[in-house]
Amino acid sequence: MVKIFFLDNIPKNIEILEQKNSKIFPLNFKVEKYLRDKKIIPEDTSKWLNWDDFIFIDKTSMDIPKKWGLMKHLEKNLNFRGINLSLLIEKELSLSLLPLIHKIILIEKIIENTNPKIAVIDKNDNTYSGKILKKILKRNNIKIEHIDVKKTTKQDIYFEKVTFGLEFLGKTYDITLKRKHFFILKNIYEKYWDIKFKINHLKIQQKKKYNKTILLIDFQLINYYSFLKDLSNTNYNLIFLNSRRPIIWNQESLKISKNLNLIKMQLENEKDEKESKKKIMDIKKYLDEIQEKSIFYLKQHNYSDILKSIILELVEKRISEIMMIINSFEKKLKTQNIDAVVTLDDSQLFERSIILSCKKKNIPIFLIQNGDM
Amino acid sequence: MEKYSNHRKFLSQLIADKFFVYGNYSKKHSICDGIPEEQLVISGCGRYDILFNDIEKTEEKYILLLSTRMPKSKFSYFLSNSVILEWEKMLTSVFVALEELNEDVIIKRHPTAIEDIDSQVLAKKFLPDVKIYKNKNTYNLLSKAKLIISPNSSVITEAIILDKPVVIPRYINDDFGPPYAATNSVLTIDKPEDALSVIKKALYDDKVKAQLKIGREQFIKENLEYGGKATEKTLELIKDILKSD
Repeated sequence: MVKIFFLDNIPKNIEILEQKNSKIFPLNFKVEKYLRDKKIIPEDTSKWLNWDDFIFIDKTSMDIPKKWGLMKHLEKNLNFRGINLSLLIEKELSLSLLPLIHKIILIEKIIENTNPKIAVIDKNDNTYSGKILKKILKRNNIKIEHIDVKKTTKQDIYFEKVTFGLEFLGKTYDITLKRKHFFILKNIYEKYWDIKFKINHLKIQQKKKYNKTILLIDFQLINYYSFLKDLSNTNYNLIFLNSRRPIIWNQESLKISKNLNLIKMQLENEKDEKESKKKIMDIKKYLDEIQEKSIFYLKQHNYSDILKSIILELVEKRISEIMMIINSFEKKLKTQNIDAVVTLDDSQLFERSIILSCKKKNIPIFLIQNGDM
Repeated sequence: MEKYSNHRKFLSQLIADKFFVYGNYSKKHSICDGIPEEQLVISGCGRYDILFNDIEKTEEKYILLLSTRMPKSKFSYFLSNSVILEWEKMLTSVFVALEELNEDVIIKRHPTAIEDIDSQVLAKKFLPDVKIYKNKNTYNLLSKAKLIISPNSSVITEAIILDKPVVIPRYINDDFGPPYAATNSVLTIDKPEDALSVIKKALYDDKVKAQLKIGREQFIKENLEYGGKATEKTLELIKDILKSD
């Protein structure tokens, strides 16, 4: 009887894989590479996923994030200050879903091609991948046996970790941190460079103020120096608002800042946890009440339980950040006139929070292509 | 297999009112992705003005090898283990070829992306004395290179503007991004066993080098409007739109 091994993590005992009539399917490249290094050659699945499958996976991972928040009769649950919150997590959700939907289709194809009676898996794997695997095996009435693994790697929601560069003693160091730790460190680092910037600017004669103001989102002085310098010489005040890398983060950007008519906008960092919790409940209610199940069906099979969990987890992780950005920015908009917004990205959470707040006031938004298509 | 270039996509919907793009190629693809034509404005790329105007051409010293991760956050095809294994073969063949050549090599790693195939491991095996940088200014590294070897990345466009020969080891037999191969502005390695001969052609074959030069001019003409004056154009367009509002 054929026994198939689904491996999303490295097994503790690899000898077990060498038994007769075993077929081994690593579900990621790390496991595949590990097994090959140990001279264990997994099954070849390269012909089982065809071009239409890849198109389906890509399209579905984009469609779900676009469609789940469009139920008109429930829209008020997703609304925050006139903004549909589903728009703000569209990209992160899409990036988080792509590998999971790929895994769903791959597992379905493996079962279709091998018709197994027994599947060996890590039964303790409660990640989304683990849940998907168990769900598919159960639906196909395949008996499950357990294999111990060295360590279960939890797949994070996309952008849960942030990698960024810090300059220290003239050298740049890359640091990868969890999102919440990143913002703490970023604030400290930004304050240090703010002091240097303020000392620097005491010596510089401020340019006169103009009637019109452009808000620039997440621009980097080094990459866009010529553009910003020319813009600085026009009759606009320039306000910089950065989320990821601070506008001034090293000696080079500090030096450039001397030549620009640069004003920084700083948003407050106060989160309203009570307001966030209430909104999470609203969104949970929205997800529970979605009648249109077809959004969460993949190839005639219902994955709404798993897909709704992913959406809810992403909402829970991001909602206080989103509400903080919108609250703080809209407070600024009451006193700061903005005539246009220029941005290099209009798809991510931070940019969309700002852009959608500006759109409510009919402020024109210009997106500039930043990289190849 | 159908070409991936027919499957380009915008990851998310356009929220901005106007989208300023590099040239006709970007405009055409944005329209294919469902962005209304009236929201698209061709402005060139202001960020590249410095490459057109200010970067000094200096002595060409080394081969610059760029390493990065596969575009698997965008396209599920690159999540397949078999595709990554093929890429490992391709990348290894490039290192083997570079080992055979008597040329200086510098490796520039992507500053943040985690590579699928670790270029440091391959370098240690095949090019133990090679210099590896991560945060060094890419434009400066490009300006002193005699050849750039890079998988699909915007660095290729930057190298083309700097009039440098480029070799692309390909993930798949498709341009998969800007039309580099379609304009004959680069040479491509389509099979691992071709790596050495393709790199040699790009380095030493004068006829090929001349053809690539013509290709680079064509690429810039067709894909990057207002080369060197894109900032000026972008500002002019922004001012015009704000005036008309």
